[in-house]
Amino acid sequence: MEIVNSMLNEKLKLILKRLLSSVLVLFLIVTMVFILIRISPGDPTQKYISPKLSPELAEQVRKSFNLDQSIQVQYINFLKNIASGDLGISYEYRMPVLKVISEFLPVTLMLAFLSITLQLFLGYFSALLAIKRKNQFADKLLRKSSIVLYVMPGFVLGLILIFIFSVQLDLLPSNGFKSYYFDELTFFGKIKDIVSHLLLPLLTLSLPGAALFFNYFRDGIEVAMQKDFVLYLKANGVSDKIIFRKHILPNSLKPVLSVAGIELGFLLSGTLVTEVIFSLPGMGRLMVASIFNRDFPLVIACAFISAMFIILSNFIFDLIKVKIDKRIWNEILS
Amino acid sequence: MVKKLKIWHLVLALWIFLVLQRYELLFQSLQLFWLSAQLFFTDYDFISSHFNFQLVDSILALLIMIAIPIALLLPKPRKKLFDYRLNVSNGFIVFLLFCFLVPTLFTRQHPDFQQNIGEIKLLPPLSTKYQIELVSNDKSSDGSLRENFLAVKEKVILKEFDENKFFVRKYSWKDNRLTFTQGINKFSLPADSIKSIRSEAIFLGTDEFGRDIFSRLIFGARISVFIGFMSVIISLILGLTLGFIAATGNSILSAMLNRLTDLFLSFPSIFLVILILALFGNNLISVIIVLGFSGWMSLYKIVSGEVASIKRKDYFISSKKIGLSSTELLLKEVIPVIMIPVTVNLVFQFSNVILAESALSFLGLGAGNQYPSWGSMIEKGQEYINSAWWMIFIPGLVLVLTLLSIHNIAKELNKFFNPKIS
Repeated sequence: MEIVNSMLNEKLKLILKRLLSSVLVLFLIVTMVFILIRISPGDPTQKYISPKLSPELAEQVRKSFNLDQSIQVQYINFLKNIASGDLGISYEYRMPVLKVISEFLPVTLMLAFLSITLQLFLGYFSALLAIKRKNQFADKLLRKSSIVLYVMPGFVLGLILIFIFSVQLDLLPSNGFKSYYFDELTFFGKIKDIVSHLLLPLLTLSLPGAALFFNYFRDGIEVAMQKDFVLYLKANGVSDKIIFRKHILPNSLKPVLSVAGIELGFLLSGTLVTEVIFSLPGMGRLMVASIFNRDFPLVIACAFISAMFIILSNFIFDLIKVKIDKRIWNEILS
Repeated sequence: MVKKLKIWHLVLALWIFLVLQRYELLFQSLQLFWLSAQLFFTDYDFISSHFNFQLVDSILALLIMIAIPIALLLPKPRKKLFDYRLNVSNGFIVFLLFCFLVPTLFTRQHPDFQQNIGEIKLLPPLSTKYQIELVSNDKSSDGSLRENFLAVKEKVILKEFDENKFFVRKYSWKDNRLTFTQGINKFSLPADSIKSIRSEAIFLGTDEFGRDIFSRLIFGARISVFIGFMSVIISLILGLTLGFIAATGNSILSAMLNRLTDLFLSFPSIFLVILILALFGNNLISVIIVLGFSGWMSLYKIVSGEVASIKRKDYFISSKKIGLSSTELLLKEVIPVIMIPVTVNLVFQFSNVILAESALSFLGLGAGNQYPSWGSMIEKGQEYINSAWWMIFIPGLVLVLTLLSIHNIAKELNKFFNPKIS
């Protein structure tokens, strides 16, 4: 019993340590963004003040943006607000920033989770195919095309897809998230509409990542298959299916999961290029627009939320890794 | 036969091609070089007022063209640099480096030259145009050094604008007058005002302003390669210094540096790059610096890890005990070992920077509109995707080929240095 308790304590300590370091990272990032936007040129109030406005009114605008105090006071106030969960009010939208973000987040969330699933799925099954047909035509084709897809910039791939499917074949819409007649559609019509709008962005986001996962899966499975324990299990008459499912696959998953954590974080922080090509209302475009508008609270909130997502997704995939291989507790959660 | 081809064969072939194509221009550049050297000693104010990047560029192109056969003829550089087997990827990189060094010899069209917006815009690849050159009524030069210099400079340097040239798609002769249309306007010119009419092929089409895509690609290659080199040098310096500090300095400092690196690695760097460029404005220098600063982490990891492991190796300890000084240790024991992984990493870094630069230009956060760039060409082409596919796919193809070639070269280097890894 004592041993179990001490182990639990140890795990709890590790998780706490990880949480603390995550909070520290968040704090560092938010501070860095805060400093960067305060020392950058450009005044956010200029947009809302005309030269004819009396100085008192202009001062009032500055005060309503909380920009009338010194930077140290602003920073302390900002930290206090963040600690209480208040990220401020957007200058541009005149709404709490969390509300603004919650309007842009669904697209990003949907794209990110669908894309990571598709990437892992495509990567896994193409790797299985390649291993089954090792050194045959399919394997060679997959390997060559995976390199091409991996190095291809997202905007070139997106435009190729638009050119094929929207311009030449006229099958799928090339921009936006919903059609303009979206509200008149039935429930299934709505789903179909969103699916047809998200298909091309999803492919654009997923194909390069799928190529990456293909290589990781393929190398990992191949290396694990040549290990001695596989030979031993085979000699003992364990069926190939069980060897693969219980022994080869878990041993080859570690690098895949690390990369998947990074990839999911990257997707969740907004995939600017894809959003720009397909003019989707996502986090990436929101952030760039807020930077150009000098909408300080919104910039910081976007950075904060993205950083949180990145840390969270790394954490989730680390937990999955630990679930598969319990030996790496200490290594990961420190 | 194909397997015996070496890189220097390709270099030589390109050199011969360029010399045959542009021998007149090379001769004029030589003249320009001679004249400006003379003027430098006699009339310094005049030459300094005409001194600009294009002048240096065309003279440098001449010097490079002279240097290439010398480098090929001398056995040592040929063995060291050019004696590798030729394949598609390093052939493409050689071509790209040629574009970087001597773009003015490849194309005689200024990348921003708008050849008649009405007629020559959005032409597909391999269409033809006619260039009508008018008789210029400049007074003939009086043979002074200055006039000579200006006349030669006029011929050598690419012009952004030329009022003596018309570009048309069709023309006809009608009772000794040349008639052609420009948009909705009809023009007719007397025959004696026309110096020459030449038909020219447009290799890769034109864009929405009637600019030649081929010459924009060549000059865009120059910008991409330049930004790539500069950023890689910045990240090399940063990664090396920080890595050495972490490996040799005290433990608190190295722990802090490790934490910082992990922080930067876990965060997608493109996020910070966009933030900084959008906040502080984007131009060539800021793009180079920001991309350089965003890529030092992997180098830092390699350097600090390798140096820390070398410090524990027997050969290092024994050579330290023999009494080698720290510079000797660095030069003889450390640098040869870390050079291999660092080189491979630098090549990958180079391709990352080119990719990032084109993505930034695509988003309008690149080096700016005054430089033609592959990313901004693709971004412009997005509006014309229905009518002009070549505006997207030709720069896109070149970009993908570049990235693929660099990737292949990095992989080959890795294989060359670590033959155990298949």
